[in-house]
Amino acid sequence: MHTLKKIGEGILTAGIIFLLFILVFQNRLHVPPWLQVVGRMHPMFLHFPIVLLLLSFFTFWLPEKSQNKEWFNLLRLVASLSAMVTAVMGILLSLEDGRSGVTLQWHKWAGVSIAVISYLFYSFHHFFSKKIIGRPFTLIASLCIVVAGHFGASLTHGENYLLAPVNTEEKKAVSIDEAIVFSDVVKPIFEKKCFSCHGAGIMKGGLMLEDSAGIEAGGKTGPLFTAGDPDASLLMHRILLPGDDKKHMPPISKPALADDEVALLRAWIKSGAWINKKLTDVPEKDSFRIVAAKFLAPSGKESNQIVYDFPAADDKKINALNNNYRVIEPQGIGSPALSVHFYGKYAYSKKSLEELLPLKQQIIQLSLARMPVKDDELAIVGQMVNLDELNLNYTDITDKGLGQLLQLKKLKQLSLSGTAIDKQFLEKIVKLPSLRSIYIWNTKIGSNEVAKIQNKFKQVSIETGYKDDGTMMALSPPMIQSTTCIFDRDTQIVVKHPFKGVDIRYTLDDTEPDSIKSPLYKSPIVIKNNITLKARAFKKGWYGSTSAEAIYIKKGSKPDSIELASKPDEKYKGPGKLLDDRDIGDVNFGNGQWLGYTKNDAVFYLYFNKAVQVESVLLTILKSTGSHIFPPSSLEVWGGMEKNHCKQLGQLHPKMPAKDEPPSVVPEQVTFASTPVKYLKIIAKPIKSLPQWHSSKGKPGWTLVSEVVAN
Amino acid sequence: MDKEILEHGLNINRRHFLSNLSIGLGSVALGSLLIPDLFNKSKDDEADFLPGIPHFAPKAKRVIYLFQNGAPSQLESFDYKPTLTKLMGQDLPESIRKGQRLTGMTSQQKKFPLVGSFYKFNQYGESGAWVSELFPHMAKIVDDICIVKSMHTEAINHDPALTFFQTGAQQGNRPSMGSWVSYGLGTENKNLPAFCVLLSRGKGNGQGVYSKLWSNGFLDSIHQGVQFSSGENPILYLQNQDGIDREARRSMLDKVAALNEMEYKNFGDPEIATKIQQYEMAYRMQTAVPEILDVSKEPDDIVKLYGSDCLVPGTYAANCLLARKLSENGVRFVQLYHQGWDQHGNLPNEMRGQAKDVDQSSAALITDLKQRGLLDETLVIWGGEFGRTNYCQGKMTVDNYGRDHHPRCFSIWMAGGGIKPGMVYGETDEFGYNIINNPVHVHDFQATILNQLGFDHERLTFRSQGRRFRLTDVEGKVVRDILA
Repeated sequence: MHTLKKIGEGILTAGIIFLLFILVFQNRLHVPPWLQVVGRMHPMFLHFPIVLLLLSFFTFWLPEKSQNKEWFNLLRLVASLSAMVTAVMGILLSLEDGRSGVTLQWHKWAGVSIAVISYLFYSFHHFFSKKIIGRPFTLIASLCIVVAGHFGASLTHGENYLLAPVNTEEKKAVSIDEAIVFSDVVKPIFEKKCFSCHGAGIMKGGLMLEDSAGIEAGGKTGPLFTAGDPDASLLMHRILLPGDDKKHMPPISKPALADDEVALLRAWIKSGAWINKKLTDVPEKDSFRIVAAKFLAPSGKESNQIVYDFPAADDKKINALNNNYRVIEPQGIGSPALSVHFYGKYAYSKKSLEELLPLKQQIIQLSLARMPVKDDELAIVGQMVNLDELNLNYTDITDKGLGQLLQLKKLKQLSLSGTAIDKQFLEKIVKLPSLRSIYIWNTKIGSNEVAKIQNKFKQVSIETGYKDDGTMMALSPPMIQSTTCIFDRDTQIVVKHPFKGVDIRYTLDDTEPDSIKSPLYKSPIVIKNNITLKARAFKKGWYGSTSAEAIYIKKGSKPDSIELASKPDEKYKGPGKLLDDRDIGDVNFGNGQWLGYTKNDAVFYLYFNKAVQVESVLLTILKSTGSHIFPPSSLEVWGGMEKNHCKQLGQLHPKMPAKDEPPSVVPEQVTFASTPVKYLKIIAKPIKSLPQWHSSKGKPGWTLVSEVVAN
Repeated sequence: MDKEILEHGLNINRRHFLSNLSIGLGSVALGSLLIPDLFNKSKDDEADFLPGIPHFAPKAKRVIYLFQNGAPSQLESFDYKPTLTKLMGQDLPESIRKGQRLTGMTSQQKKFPLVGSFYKFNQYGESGAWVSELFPHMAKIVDDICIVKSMHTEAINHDPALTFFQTGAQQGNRPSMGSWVSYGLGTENKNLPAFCVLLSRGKGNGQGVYSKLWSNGFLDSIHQGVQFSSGENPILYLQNQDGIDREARRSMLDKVAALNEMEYKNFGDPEIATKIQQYEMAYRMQTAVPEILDVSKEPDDIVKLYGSDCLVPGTYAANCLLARKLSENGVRFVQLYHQGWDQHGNLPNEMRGQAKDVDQSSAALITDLKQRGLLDETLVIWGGEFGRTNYCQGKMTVDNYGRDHHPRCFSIWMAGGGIKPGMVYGETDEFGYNIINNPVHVHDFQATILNQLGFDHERLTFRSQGRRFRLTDVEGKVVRDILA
């Protein structure tokens, strides 16, 4: 007896671990046929643990003194063993069935819980023998049994089996978005018309239609259907027999199937007789999905799909025709329809179109946009009888190709933008029976003619697209291509505009160019001196552009060294040689090309080893009012032959920017009588307070300097 | 004594238990026999789809995403809130704010003065959608677009929010939306990348965009976004070097491919196969790309439609035109970024400039796709990474104010690709602070895009580092209400 118990315990522990193991790896298990037999014993075997467990739970409710009785333990062991075996069988069965869903999950986890709890009861019976611990746990375990039992029954007998007799409430229609093929679409029909004889309880002729196992097994006469072939299926055969035939189903004494119900069953088998598939996963254009939609609550989105009754093409054939310039794609998994796009006009030839003819039935979308398609090649397109969408934008077709397209009785959308077709073409093509939209933008068909045709054929929307209605719009400014802003020798400036037929007019004297007087740009502008180039673009039908600006500064006498006599602010120190690096910087002032001053005046010295004649000093400064960067309040130039004996040569009070002036780089030049100098001292004073209109009025402004040139 | 008995019992139990466990080990070994491929990748781990074939027939074949980087204010564009103008300057009631998170930029502010739009709103089209005067061209096409006013996101700062929008996670190690689409649908035109990226810079306060936003993450590197730049070489390193002609390139590629093939046979690294494909595609791109970038053959009408900036490379208008050309040529996902929408201050002024940059050409893109019969198969999206606050950041004057980041509600629009045209979806409260109707989370938005492309977002997965990833992580619900 003791040995037997030992063996039992061993099997129990091993079994529980085995159970947990296959539970963890259930998705990856491969159950051999002989084990499937074991699994199928689950519905029979499960009755043992129910009785044994309940009995063993009952023992926990007996007085604590009697808890040690040996046979109690034996009972608990046997109960636990039976629970474990049932659970293992159950898992094996669930794998075979390929079932899934909430009911199964509940059933599975409740069942596994029972096995584990009963194992714990047995292993730790000393612990559970205590009244206050054991008894509540038996209640929990019993609850698990009820849950597992209920969901198990739902699995075999169908959902709501228990409450169905009292539940007379009309079933809420399932929406298309949630429907499962068999249980929500097909089963309700069987339920109404067939269950009374072919339900799980009765199973006349060995046929049970309540679940997938039943319909797959078929009845005594044979399998119910051949998926994909309704005409060879027993189900359809029986349904379609004459009404007075003995074998007609349902029998004459029972309510008959409605026509749309028959159509649905037929489409279901034709599409593959899916079971657990969601309806939304069925290809949208599949006939089953379309028929099924009538039986279900609408999903909110209207479905106006076309049914395809042509067979799918051979995948190998499709792959062989697919290449880098001719792309053939299926419409979705399981859909026979194909779409074809041509790319790369150099790869296109009549032959590349002809090669598609083996697929002429399956192609529903074809794009030949921008391919050099000739009229006669449309004869090939005309053979693609199921075409739904055809894109011929910017092809070489003309009115002559029209006849070929008139064969496309199913064509719904036709794009002809940018082609040479004219109004006769349009007049005839709109008569295509299925046509709903046609695109004729950028063709020579006039808007009056379109309006006339549109009036006659209201079912077709004729899209003419955008036409320049003469609204004036501003051109973009020309692009000035300058390599350097500070030049040594005479230099050439190239000005361009990307738009064809644009006139570029320019000025070199800092005035705004206009469309009449200012010189027209024809060839590169040669410059010799400091100039500010302003250029604008003009074109008929457009407003002139804003002006593009560039500053060109003739390089002056190069100082031998430059000394910064006052310290620039930490933020804008720039590199050492900034003032004569020939880079005037840009409005993006954080780029290290600028020296900045706010507290100190900007003071620097230019040294020349040999005396030079100087008559002007030019300083490039930045204006960016939003960032508090203003021209200096005054700009002074001092010069002389000795550092400490310089006299003031000139002074300038730069023009202050207006409120909304955009940021810009400006040259400020101080001119004076030509003077020989070895030393030049330049002082720029940042403005003390920002003007009244500024949002930070009263605060000190910044002076930013990038380059100094003495001439 | 009781204690000893208990201990004895426990000892026996422990020994007993352990010896039983050894039997358990045997049972595990037994169980493992049932798993034929215990140590291999199981079938279940494979993606739940066939690469290149959508789950169901797609409504949209391609996407053009006009990303407005920096977060344009919904209150000056599509979400009309007259209440804010009425209550101008009053403090945002706590009953509305409910102590929700702020950025570090305004959390120190003592007051949160409400500020109404500086710009006027009007209703347009048959849908009667409200659009501000900043967007006159978009106003003309409201009947072609679907404005979603109830977008919300989880991030409050630019980079995480942008990354979240583009990759479904804030951290930036996941594949971009375009990469997912490329992975799911494959390339359409084999002579161009499936995922292209175009950048433009506005004049307003800008925020950076980084290449991680168009990264392929853990997906095969063939799905990475390819950036087109505005310079002389739009795609870096695509041109042959001087002295190399096309024949020389061809024979060089053939030799390299042979070497790579050898290497692939030895190591089986899929990245080697990718590399071979990439070289081949680049070779074909050498002829395909210049043809697409050439805008000189576009008719004058088109230039007027998009605005003449569309001929200036690197502008938003040029990128819109280019986006149409790429999309028309079978690029699955064209991602634009327009920078400069971060108006913490100087909003009325900066926003006018930003709107001018994008208004005409965004609308033009819709019109242009439509007149070619391509809008129904191209999904166009316009929007930023979050919204802006209904209260002023910094100093407030009659004509000048700023707005901080606001993730709780913002507006975007979508057009084409099976999205209901002429629709305004979702609603915010009268303060424009919280959503009161039909919220759309970023994951919902992503799920909807994938749905339009023919994918169940829950089944477009990729296994990496021991788990499966999705663009929508573990959330997302298709917004069926806005589907045509």
